[in-house]
Amino acid sequence: MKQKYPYGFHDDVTPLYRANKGLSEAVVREISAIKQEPQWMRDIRLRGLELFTKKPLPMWGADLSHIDFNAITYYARSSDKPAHSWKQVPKKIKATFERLGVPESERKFFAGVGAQYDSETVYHHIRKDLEAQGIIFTDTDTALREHPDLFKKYFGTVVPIGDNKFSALNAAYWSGGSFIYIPKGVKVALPLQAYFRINEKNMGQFERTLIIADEDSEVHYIEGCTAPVYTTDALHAAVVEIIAKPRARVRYTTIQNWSSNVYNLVTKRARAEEGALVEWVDGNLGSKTTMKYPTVFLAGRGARADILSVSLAGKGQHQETGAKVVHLAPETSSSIVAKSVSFGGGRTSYRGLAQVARGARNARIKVRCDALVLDTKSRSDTYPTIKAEEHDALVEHEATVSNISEQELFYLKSHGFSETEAASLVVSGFFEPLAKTLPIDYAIELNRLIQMEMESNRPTA
Amino acid sequence: MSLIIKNLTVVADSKEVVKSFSLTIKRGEIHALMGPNGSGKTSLCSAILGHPSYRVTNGDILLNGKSILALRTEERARLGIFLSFQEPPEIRGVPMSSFLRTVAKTHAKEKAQGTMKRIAEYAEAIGFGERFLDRSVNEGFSGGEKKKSELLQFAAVNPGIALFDEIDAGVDVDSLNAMARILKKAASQGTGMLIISHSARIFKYCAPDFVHIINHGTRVTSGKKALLKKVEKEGYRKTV
Repeated sequence: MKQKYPYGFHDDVTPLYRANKGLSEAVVREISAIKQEPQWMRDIRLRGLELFTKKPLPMWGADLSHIDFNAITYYARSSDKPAHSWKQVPKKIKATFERLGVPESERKFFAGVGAQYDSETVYHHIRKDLEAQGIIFTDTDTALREHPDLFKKYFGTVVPIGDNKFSALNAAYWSGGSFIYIPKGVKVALPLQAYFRINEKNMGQFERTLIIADEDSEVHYIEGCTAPVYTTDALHAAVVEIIAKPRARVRYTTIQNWSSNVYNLVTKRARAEEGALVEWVDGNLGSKTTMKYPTVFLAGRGARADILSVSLAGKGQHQETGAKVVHLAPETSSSIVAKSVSFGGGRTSYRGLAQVARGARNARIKVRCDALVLDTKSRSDTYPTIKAEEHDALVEHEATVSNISEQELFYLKSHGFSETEAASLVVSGFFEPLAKTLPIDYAIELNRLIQMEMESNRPTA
Repeated sequence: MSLIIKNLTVVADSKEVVKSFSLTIKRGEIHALMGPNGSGKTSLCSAILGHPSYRVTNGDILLNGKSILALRTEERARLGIFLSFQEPPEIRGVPMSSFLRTVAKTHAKEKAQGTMKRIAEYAEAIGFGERFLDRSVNEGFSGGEKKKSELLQFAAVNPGIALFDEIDAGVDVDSLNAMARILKKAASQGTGMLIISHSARIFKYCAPDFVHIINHGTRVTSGKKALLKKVEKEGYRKTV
């Protein structure tokens, strides 16, 4: 039996407000006015629009030439303000998040949860005891109103407005996302979670996430995302900035499962100060096209980065993913593990940067790329860039490409597994380093998702 | 369950690797299959499970009287034919314990729980500790450990017909004795078996009802237990 993408349903929800389609300064001003923002933020938005218009589409990476920027709705909201209890969330929207298992998983293993529906956050909640410790976990719009000093100090410091075409687009239209501040020395034992859902057709979702982990603090943030299946494209262009102050530890996990009509073009970047550790765990299962390269600037002595990027590309999908590490300080170390699977005509690309700047003595970088290509229709490429300006930098790069051997397949079939089940099993095993980092229920869910992806994409032999 | 191999000829790499081979395995019977390296033992097993590189050009394979030649490998497996591999591949990142559980569920005749309990018992008997169950399937296992892993998979499937391709190779004596007892018990509960081995030791605790010698893809002689002794003493060349 073939199972289809189970999150492809859409809700019959009429937004309270929907901006006119297409790029325009008027819409940008309108969003800013609706949000009653200070002028400096409106200026950032306008500058973002200007830079977006000026910058050409990237000439490298995935094919983005089919995106019709004037067919996109850049802002739609379905609720007035974020609710702090699921009871206050509009019924149909609540039902959707229930169908996605969000409230249930919140009860089971999260310290706080945010849920975004199209442009706006509809729900945000953090456990009272954590709030009492001074932890801030809220939607980014609320943060701008309620914590303006903290916000202004860090916003745009890791990803400048004009960093790239899509960070500029995000600056212009940003709405929602998570804002997290962990005070000095506070360690959050359970992860914080955010769930992003697109419902409108031709929607553009531009959430903006800012995480500040103060000295000696610790936090794990997990985000998931899904969207309805439409025949026309949707666009997701988020920006995530992480500031890990001295000796802080931040892990940011993404399980991206967009429907196959979503362009997912995300800029994720962290600054790790002295002795800090930033971990990006980036799982890309869905979307039509993804371009995403989680980055860490190792800015303080002894800072560390650990990046795990995992991608699965089936028919019609291109996962252009990878990682970047920029070593700016001495004694810094980083590890990148990229694992990709392509099948049914899908394509994966690894694009990476390993850079050691002058003065970053004794830097250590380890990069490992493993690609699993399941059939001859599918494709995998690797584009690594290494720039080392210090002679004592130790940079290792290892890459492998494999397939499922005939013997492996026969072995599994002779145990009663069908071709698809056998392939799913091998892929799950290949992605085990990702599963290992997740709470157990999430890991089981991941394996179920992998199996579903493989079944819906693969004709049973 | 009964397996009838009827006048079977198998071609692999455009060579006849099995020629006009016939054999009947009935419920609960233990058949020993011996023969020199490259005589067609593994090819026979591969053909019975429908390996795509092994083409049956003549003859038939019947399970409970019905031909299985048109069935896919997994369909044959699900009907209750199990093959223990001579060289099982590694399945990286898939822990033994969850693999065994999945296999047990696929073949569930009883509640998977009961199967898992039996597996745990067997694991202990053959000295396959819990630490192995946390490891990936066959990954970094020694030759003997891989064979133990195969035995546990046999227990997970609990098949009607089992083909063991050198399950004893590289296994230490104590574990081998335990293994042989497990096989004997399974046969007494109805599993028909074909045990391929170069050494008579496994048959000490798991006495075969029939012994067959294969050479150049053909069954050259058959007999009872006495044939084992003869092979051990005189070697294949003289026996054949």
